[in-house]
Amino acid sequence: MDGSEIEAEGKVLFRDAPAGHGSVDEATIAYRPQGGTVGHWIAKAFRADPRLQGRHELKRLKMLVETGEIATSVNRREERT
Amino acid sequence: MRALTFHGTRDVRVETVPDPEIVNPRDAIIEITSTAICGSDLHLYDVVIPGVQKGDIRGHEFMGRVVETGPGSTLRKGDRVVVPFTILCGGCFFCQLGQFSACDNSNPVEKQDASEAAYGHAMAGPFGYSHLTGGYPGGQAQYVRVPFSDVGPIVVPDGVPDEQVLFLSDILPTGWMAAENAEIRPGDTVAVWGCGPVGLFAVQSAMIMGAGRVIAIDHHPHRLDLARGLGAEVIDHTRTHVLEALMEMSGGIGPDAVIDAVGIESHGFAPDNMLDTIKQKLLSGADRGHVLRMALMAVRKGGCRSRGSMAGWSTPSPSGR
Repeated sequence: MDGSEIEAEGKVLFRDAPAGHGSVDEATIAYRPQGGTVGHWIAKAFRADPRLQGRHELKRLKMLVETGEIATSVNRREERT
Repeated sequence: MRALTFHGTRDVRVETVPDPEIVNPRDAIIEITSTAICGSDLHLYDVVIPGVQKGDIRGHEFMGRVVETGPGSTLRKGDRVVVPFTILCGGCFFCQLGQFSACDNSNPVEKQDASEAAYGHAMAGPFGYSHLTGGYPGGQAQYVRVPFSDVGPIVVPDGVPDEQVLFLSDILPTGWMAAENAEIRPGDTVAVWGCGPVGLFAVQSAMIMGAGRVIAIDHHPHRLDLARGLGAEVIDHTRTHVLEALMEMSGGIGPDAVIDAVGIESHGFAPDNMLDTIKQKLLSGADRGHVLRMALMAVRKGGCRSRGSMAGWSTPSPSGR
């Protein structure tokens, strides 16, 4: 993707969930980790790997779709990251 | 504003902290008029539950007046509300099933990973608890920010004293649900361990649901007196062998239903509890499940067990039946 620090490509699929339980949103991401395998382990240790970040973004999408907002426990707007 | 904040094991302080403000559209800000201490606050006080941080505002049982609302709130300024301790979005699978304490969307995404790893699924977000559950500031304070204020808060009329409705925030529905989960049939014998607020509400709830006898177990004299005053028969577990007494009182088969309203900081000098105490001191997150195990052993074959709040890995557990 243009402007990304990591060479990556992917796709997002939306399909019906079983038993009428809404929809399943699936993101498949292929990426080349910076620093190879060691870089990937370091990224995972610092919770910066694309798999975890992608999962977090899918959860935020779910929150937006189901509630109209993204949950935060901060008490003041300037604390929001 | 002034608020009760956590600073370490058995170290809480009233401090001046910034006032909360509207952050998300469905928020409301409540000026708190009454707040209570829950038994599960003790687990944070003793740091039995992990994920507490210095400066966290405590408290999840509170009520007050609405002073500010976001554009998505259905509350009005001046409304008097009791706020349930769980934060619920109203739109996820679990909220729509009525399983609000399992809400998918109240624990902030970046905080869900720890509880997901520990318990298999991310926990929902209550007020004033661990960062495993989102780290939301709580209601032992002058003001609180209430997310999803169009779903959770219960509007109550003026003229009803706070003391008559405050318990709707947690312990009354908790005691009621404990009795409901015990599947009490008319005439059943029900044993309730723990005569704290939740246990006492469970005793009352069991009676309303038709229990023939309710046997309440504790060791604090004033708590036993309160249970007796509600119509329960009582056992002081420091003076009486509880299992033997329950068998004798139930014609030898055991109570039809048992309710553990003690939870993860069970007391006593039984060998299993001593072992659990050591584990808990060494490793935050371990349960002291002595009462849970006793309740499992006491309930009759085919009976029903309703458990209180547990948090860690409760071992050992008699699961042979």
